[in-house]
Amino acid sequence: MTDRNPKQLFNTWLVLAAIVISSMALMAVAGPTVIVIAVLLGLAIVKSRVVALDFMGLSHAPSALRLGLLIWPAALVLLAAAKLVLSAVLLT
Amino acid sequence: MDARSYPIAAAAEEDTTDTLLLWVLVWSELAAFGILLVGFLVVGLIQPDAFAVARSHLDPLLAGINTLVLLTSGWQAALATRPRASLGQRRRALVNAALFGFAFVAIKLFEYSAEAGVAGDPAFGSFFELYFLVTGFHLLHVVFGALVLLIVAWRPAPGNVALITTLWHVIDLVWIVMFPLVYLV
Repeated sequence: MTDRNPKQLFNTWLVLAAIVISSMALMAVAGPTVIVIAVLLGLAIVKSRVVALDFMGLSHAPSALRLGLLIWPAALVLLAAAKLVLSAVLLT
Repeated sequence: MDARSYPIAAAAEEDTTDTLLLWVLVWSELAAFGILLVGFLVVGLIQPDAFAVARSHLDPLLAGINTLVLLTSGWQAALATRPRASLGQRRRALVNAALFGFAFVAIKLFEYSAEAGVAGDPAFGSFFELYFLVTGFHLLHVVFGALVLLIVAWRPAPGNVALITTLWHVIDLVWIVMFPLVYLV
């Protein structure tokens, strides 16, 4: 349950929207290069963190609960990054 | 008859704020989606060429728009959980969250309609089978979650609101991670 007021929640949504729109613009301009994909994977962790802390209200939750939830996106993003590296190694 | 005659009522009297089962449910969802996404990554590693060609038939722009739609829905769901929200504000925010959820479904089905025509090509390996499985499983969660949001808007008890909005944010979180993994990596 969030402890943020409506203005703070609107600001959080604005930040998230800005990240999504800038990600889409980056993809449109630069294409799906390895660097762009790495940046977008990093931004996925940032977005997950913002949703968990601000929308889900976990900023004041016990650290085990907070970390337990944030490990999930971080682990998958790390696996995806490992796949990118492995693909590059296997293709060369 | 007192509360001891009804174990559930007695339990409710003891503690109405324990969220243990909610987090068990959250983690079971994350585990299921985690297994599907790891499977997608592994098969992508085994069939890199087929996945690269198949991925060119996806529409990352529509997926990006859907990310925005789902985050907007999450914002509305968060507004519904504010302790100071009035009953009317809570109901309105839950209905808005559900409507954005249905918008996500409409956009995703539109996206599927374009992809279904090419999905059967054997040159794409297992990509589209896994793509429809992973994104379809998520889509079913969005449909079900949006319907439950509407039901809870009708009966917005704090416990119900906390439960469905937490699960709704988890569905949001899953999409945030699923998007780059399925469309880009």
